[in-house]
Amino acid sequence: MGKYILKRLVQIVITLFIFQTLLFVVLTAMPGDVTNRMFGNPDIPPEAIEQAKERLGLNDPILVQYARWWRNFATGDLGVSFSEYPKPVIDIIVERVPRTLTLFLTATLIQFTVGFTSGRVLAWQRGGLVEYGSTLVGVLLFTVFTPWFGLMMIFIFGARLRWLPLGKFLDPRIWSAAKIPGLADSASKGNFVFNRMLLTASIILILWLAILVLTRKLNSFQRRRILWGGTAGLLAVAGIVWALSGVGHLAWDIIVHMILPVITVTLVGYGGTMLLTRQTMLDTLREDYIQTARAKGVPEVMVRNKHAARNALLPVLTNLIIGIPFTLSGGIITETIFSWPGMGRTLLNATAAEDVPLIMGVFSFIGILSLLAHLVADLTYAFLDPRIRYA
Amino acid sequence: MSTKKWFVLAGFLVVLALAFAACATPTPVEIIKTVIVTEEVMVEGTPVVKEVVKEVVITATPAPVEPTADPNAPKEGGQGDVFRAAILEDLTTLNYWSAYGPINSSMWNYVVEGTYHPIAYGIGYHRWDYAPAIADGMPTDLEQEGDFWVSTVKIRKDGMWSDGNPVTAHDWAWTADVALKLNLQGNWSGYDPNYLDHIEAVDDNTAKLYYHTKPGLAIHQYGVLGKPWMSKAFWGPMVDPLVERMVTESEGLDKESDAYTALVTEITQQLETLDATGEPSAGAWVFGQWEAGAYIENVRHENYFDYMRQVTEYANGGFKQVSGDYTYTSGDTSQVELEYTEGPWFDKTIFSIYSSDAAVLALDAGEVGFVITPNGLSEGQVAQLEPNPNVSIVTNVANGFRYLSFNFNRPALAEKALRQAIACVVDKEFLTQSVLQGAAIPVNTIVPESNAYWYNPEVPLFCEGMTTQERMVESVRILKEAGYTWDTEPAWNDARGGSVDYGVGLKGPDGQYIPEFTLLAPTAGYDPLRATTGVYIEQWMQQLGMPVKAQLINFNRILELRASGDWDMYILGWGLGVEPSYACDFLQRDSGWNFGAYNSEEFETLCNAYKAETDRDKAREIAMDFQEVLAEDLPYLYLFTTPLYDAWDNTQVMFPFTEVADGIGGGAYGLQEYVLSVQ
Amino acid sequence: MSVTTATPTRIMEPLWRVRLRLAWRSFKTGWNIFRENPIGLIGLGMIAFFGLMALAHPLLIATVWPPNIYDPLMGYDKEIISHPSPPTWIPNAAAEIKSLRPLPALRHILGTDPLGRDVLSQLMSSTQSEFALGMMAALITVVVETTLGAVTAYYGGVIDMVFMRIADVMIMLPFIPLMIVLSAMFDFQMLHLALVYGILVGFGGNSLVIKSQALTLKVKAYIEAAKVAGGNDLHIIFTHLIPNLLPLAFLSMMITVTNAIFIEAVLSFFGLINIRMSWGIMIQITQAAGYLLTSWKYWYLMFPAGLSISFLCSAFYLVGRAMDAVVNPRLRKR
Repeated sequence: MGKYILKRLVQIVITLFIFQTLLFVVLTAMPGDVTNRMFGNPDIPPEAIEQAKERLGLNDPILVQYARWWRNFATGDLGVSFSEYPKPVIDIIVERVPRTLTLFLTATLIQFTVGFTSGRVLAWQRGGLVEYGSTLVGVLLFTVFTPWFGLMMIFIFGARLRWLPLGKFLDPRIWSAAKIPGLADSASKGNFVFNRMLLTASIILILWLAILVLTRKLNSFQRRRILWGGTAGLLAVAGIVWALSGVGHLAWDIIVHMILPVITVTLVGYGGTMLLTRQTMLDTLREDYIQTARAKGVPEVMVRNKHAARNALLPVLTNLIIGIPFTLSGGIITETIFSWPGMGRTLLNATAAEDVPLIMGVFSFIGILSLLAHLVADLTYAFLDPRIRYA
Repeated sequence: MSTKKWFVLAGFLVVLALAFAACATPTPVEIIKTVIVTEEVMVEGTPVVKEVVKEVVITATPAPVEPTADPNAPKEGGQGDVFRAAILEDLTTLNYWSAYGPINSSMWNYVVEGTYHPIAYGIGYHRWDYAPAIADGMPTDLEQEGDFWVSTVKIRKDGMWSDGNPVTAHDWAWTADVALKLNLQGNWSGYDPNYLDHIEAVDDNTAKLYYHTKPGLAIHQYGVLGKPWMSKAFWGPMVDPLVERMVTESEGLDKESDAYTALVTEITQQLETLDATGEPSAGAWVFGQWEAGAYIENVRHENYFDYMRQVTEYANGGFKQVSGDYTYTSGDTSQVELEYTEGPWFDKTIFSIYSSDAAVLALDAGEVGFVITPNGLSEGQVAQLEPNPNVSIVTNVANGFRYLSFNFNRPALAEKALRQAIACVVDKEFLTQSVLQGAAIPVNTIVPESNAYWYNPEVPLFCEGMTTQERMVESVRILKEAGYTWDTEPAWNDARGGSVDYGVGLKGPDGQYIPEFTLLAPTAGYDPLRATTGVYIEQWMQQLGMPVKAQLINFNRILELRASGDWDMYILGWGLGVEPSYACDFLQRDSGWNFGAYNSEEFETLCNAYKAETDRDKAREIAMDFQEVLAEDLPYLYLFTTPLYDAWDNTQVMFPFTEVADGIGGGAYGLQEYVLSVQ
Repeated sequence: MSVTTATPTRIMEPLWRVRLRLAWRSFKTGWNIFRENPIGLIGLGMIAFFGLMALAHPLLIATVWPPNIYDPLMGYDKEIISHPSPPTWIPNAAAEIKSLRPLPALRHILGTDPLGRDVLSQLMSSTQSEFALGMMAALITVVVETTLGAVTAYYGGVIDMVFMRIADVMIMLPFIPLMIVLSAMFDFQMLHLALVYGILVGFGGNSLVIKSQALTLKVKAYIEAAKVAGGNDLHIIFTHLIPNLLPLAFLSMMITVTNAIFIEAVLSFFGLINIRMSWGIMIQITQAAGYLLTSWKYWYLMFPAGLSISFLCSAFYLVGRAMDAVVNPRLRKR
């Protein structure tokens, strides 16, 4: 196992190297640069543009730029953004990642749960109207034109019905008056809350997993009781802590603003998960041990939920983990539509402005995350699937 | 194990989590407190005892805070005390050295920070009246004094920074000194080292401007006199060491050398990344807070010197303002046209960031009182807001134009007759009225009509008011007269309800076929108006037998091609200032923006004369002349400008006037100093 | 098949006819399996519908639609004073449409866009380009991935290793952002998009699947036989390996079409691509003119293009799924 992980790590480093180099080549090969935009401003004389190029290091030879890129990357200094000058790229990433993570991890988890559950049920309904109907709906949602769909959601729930906010992640009316004790005036209140929300979620998740592991040996009835009780307890505790923290209403405001984008991402994504689950379930159902279980007279529900679903979970889970970086970057559409100031929108703006350092920074971030996700997916597979043994 | 035991375990876990959470929340934190310390500092060589504000870091454990009351409950005072404006993008920096510099030219920085810094003379939003801001009366005329051209400006005594220091001539002199010594670019280059030598603060309230070369209108009145001042007290300690380093290290360096560029680069970078937290404001608003990606809050400045400034505009161009003890009058003051008083009238401004569509929905729902857009609201957004009785909508005209530029390095396009024929066949009225649905207004000269003082209404026009058939006939005539021939001449065809049979094989006066041209225009996604116009112009030119192909490409790509010189024609736009020296910037022979290589002796002479002229009326005469030359020569074919729609919630805010060039949002950034609360 | 036992007439039958016959037979079995699944038929029906739309457009322009009104780019209806205008068949439309004279009900079946052009005509003409794009992208992908899969599986070794690393990177690349960056920087037209898309996908995940299939084929007896018989490598790859990989490749092709159309729409929506008319551009124009979030009143601007993208993407996806059952016998009903 250790040897396998080591091998994977070496592979990851190589892949990262290729990835970064490709990225650099593509981005330097592009015609023009950020100073293009200055040509549009009559107040900026051409000499100043030349000077700006010098300043941004755009006149250096390619190899020098490449070396600088690696040096900076190694030291965690990703340079200074052109379009959001003079902000350092790393600051921009640190500022926006929690926002993206909060939104998309929530959406991914919900999407996964809903998709997996419905896919599991769907696999059992072969040939009927239910199958065709839900497959059709699933496919339609899976292929729906996301920007259009997002705008429609805003139009219906935000503009017409006015149930939910029209995008953004907070309401200035509430936040402007809020004071967070101990936080410097210039620090972001939003990130303060986002980070603590992420922390809370991780703690809940870890404790929940702990309960899951600890109750492994119990019979199903007791286990379910403890699980449900524990989950409710954890959530209640988290709720109480937040309510007492003085920033509870801020977190609540963020949650309210998250509802619409989360629903949209869930609807768009869950079709895919559902179809995949169904597919793998169908595959599993053909396995001999399922036939055996059935022949033994195990109730259908048990066969479905215990034997089949658990094995079908594996590929779906892997797909989910591998998909996380994609969700993050796929957020480009969702974030733009919902004015959510995260990584996706940053990337789109950086692209429009030909802001190479920022594009590089965002891509490197997504790249590293993606590689790690692949590693985690592999390891999960190794741990969960007894049939796979890594030499 | 029994169920009970497990419940105990679960209970234990819950307690553990509670304990953890309880410990986690009120952790010791670092609090930064400001305290006032008395210390000895050096002020211009003399030691002075002074109170200095210092930040001290204290570690403390905060007491748990009571949960705040229901956030949805209306706040005391309702909405009346907060001006809520929607903006479309986030700020990039609070450091004005950077915001006003070349790389960081985001409009949104100016929207929020533009009011912080005092200027000597300003241009009114409503009628573009040129009037003193923090200056007291007009500057003295430029006079020669030794090697210098000198002008003296009196400065008001009641200007205050929000940190309690007075605004003095020293701030101005110091700012100019920094800009000149560090060779600051971008908008800072208004402190133009090619003209300005230095500004001397004679005393707190008198500044003397020294020019080594005689400056014209654009450099003096519309340049140095209108550039922002920075607070010397705040920035001095941070910036002075940089200036000092620059002066010592650049000594003996050639300004063209790499070492010099590297030095400028490094020092500018340091300047632009200085922390601006706590910078005082002398304007109507003081910075409050900034939640990145969400909103920015400005707070009313209690000691704003122009608070309650009474402005009176008179029908015949007269102007009067009374502000504190200072009164300024100009022109004929017989017939009052408009009176208003400057605020700020709100306690706070909150700029919330929305996407364009969401901003309109927010306005519709009353979430914001006004939407600040650079290019106004779109037709559909206006259609959406119209039924709402709480929303008022006005139209203004953008001070700018979209134009078709010709590359004079292409011999065929350098022919005046060809350009004139194109100008004739392009039916701006049809384009703007029918195709673009009134979303555009024709422009005929380099100064748009809205800029009434400088606008020349009598420039020569080609085929004005003609029908499609007449235009075709006339442009064919222009071409024939210049010696152009066709394999098949374009002809009017009555058969199909009137259309043109396309000409084929246009040959120039030299008998050669006209080579194929490419017309670059932005994609429909970027700007549907220009994309559509591009396609129409392509068709019209093809009617005349000109082999042209419109290419709708990425906006950035057009800029690249333009810079590289590898282009024939393109459609782009300019946003303009008040004073038309931009015409010279765009088209003078050696200007960096003269991408089309337009070259005309007549225009060159006029521009040089214009640039040297210091008298506004005389400059105007020259401007009239060069507009005519350009309309005849057609280096640009001016196409149209756009109406700008502004909308506001009339239950929350109202404006003392709504006629603003470039729109209330785009031109006046929401009239933050004037906007009134309805309550 | 043993030659000695065959009758002379059988020998006379040329090889291509044998192949054709076999192909026809496998097509028929495949079709029978495909037919069992109504999902696939629905998809096929939808594709046929859009195909007809694409074909009908030039015919309509040539016959009943005068180009000066119905051209998707340049058309302009001068009879109508204000655009966008709602469909002419709607009862009481006359009150909504400010036209110079009463218009026939079928004049603008889906109304006109903010620039006065017929929406239906735009929709139909865009269908052509969507098909063209999808097919081109799919074809390129299939060529790249089968060649790569077959070659790497056949040779293994260094070639395989290099290819695996590249595939790793390709899988890792966040696709939509990458396409957005590329199309913003380089001036993409439809063909470029198809090319870049096809290559990126071809090098990525799909080729891994194809490769594993090729690996199982490689050890089959007839490949060994061909090797022993002295067939050169290229011959074996192209005549024995690749034809057997095609069904699998064809399956992935359907998904490729779906994704290519989707990506084109996204890029057009963000205004990053150099094409004059497509469904994405129709939505973009509606949004740029500010009508996208207005009200139901402008449904004819909001829905036709948005739904068309969804439906055509779904159609190819559904066909792909149904074909899955044909190619992959494990999924058939038992």
